[in-house]
Amino acid sequence: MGVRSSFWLFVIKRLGISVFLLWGVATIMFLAARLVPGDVISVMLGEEAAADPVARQAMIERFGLDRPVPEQYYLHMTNLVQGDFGISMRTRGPVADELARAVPASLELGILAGLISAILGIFLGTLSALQRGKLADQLIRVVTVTGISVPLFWLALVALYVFSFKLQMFPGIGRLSPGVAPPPTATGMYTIDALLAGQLGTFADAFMHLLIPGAVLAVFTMTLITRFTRSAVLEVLNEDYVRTARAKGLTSVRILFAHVLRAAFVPIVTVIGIMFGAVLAGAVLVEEIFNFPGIGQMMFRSAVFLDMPGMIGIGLVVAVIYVGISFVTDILYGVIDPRIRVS
Amino acid sequence: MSVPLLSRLSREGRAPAVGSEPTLPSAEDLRAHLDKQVRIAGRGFWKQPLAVAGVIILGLWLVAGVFAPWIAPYDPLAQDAARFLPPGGDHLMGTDSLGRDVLSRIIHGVRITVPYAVIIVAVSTAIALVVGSIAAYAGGWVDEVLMRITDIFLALPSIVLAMIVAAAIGPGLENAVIAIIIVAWPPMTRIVRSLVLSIRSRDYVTASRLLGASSSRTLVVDFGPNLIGSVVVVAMIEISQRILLLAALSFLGLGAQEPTPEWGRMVSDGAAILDRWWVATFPGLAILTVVLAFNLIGDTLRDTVDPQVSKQVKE
Repeated sequence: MGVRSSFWLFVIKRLGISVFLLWGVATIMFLAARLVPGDVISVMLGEEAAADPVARQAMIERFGLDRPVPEQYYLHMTNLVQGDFGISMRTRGPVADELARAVPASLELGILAGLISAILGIFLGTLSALQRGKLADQLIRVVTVTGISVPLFWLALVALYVFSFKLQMFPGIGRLSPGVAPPPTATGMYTIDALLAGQLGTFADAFMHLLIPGAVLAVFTMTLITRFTRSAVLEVLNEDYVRTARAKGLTSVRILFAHVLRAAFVPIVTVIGIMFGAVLAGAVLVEEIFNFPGIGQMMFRSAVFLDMPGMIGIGLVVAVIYVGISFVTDILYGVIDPRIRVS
Repeated sequence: MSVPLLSRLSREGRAPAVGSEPTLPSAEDLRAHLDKQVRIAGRGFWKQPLAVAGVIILGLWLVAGVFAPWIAPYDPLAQDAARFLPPGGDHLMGTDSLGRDVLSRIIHGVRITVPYAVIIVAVSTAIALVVGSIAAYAGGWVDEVLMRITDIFLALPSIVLAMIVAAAIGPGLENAVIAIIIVAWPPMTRIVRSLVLSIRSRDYVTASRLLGASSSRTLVVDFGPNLIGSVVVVAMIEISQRILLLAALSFLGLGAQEPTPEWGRMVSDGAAILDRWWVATFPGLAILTVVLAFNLIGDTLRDTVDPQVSKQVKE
């Protein structure tokens, strides 16, 4: 009884924090939009449309620009709560509609990047810890330091040039090759939709289009996971029960899986939240290069067009995803390790 | 003698039980001991081949930046040559879409990237030192409010927030710097806060207070040097990430504008013309090597000079 209610109390507290964070982000966005120097309406609509008095009036009414700032703030917040993220001045359509198409695309890419970085990162990190100080450890360190130093937008260009342009090993840009029809929409993720519809050819094509951008996005997060796994495994290796297991004569492979990785897994779970955040951040720079129509490309194009409503709408959705993931990892962590709930 | 206590101080971060030691070490003993530790750590730094490589790479870039007008073969803005000349001959790294020498532009680019990154980190660290120390010392609701504010800034990837702020105040190099400072101070503040909290609870601070040192003496002699040392280590690591962010904003068109020879901007110039690979490849390599140098130095400093920091940074 007591344990149960303390768990729900923990969940409610964390939920409250998440709502608070989103409110804070929405407020920062509101303030950022007021920062725009000069005529807000021209910036929001573009010079051309701002000359049109009808469009101007519609804009003023929509955002309550003729009313006092607190009232504008109230309007901004109520619009958001109702799922109205505004009209993109780039597409002239609602930001929410475009986001609905972009989110599954980015999700698909993000999951692949996450898988690649988790598998490689845990492997390299464990290897590095077991070989501490030896050549393999040093080499992995060079790889990870380079991984956090490389500008992803540049790496994406190089990868596209080398693998698609020169070697022609991978298809070029986009989600599918020209002439391949998208699978019937179920989840919006082409690979999964293609599998659901039994179109193996489409699946293979969509998957090949994901691989290079996915691998580029995985570089930064892979280095994070490698470093984290290394220190987590090193810590466990020094624990008494691991020494005991070794003294008992258990094989090192068994010790590794039964004791070391199991214990190291808990801290690794917490990195996953950070990982998805980093993938999202990378997507902003990488997706456009591969002409991949996800959230990142939307953000990129909004930035190029200086489309403030678009940027704010996407920023909020990114915040929802970001805060949502850290909420889920916190709860998962609380389930795995009940001591967390207290603090 | 005070040796047992000293050796224990360095081994475990816990204060000895009161009265268990017959003699407490003098503050001078403690300082001497610390100085020795720093010297040992310093020697460790120069034994790391990767760290030395970082210092050399950074040194070369700094020399190139300082003497850019004499080293660069051409004027970085001059549109004298033919467009898109491939690397080789008179233009080692080729020419760009306006016939400017890529190598000369890269050499002049250090003068933008490194100073602006230093400004970003210096300003955001200064803000963080003030806000973080206030939060740590005041505690209570002041701490709570300040930390919740930093939480809000951390609820978005820094690049997304920086893009929105930069777009709002208008594209341009200076505005991009302001935008990055706005996203850079909150994580730094959290690090400073936890550093202050951890240093405050360290033995030598307690010991020096117990020995009757005035609080201003504690601040100047014990606290200041240690906090600054740790913060410098964190700042080195920060610089590398801020260089990447500044280059990314310029790549997105929100930072440096034409004709400024900024590296991120130069990569974006080459992005649309992949078959003219040299236009984007060389500036990207410049970003990579400078960031790598800072990371190699920062990483090694963190591991050798101040293991305490590596814990804080990871959290």
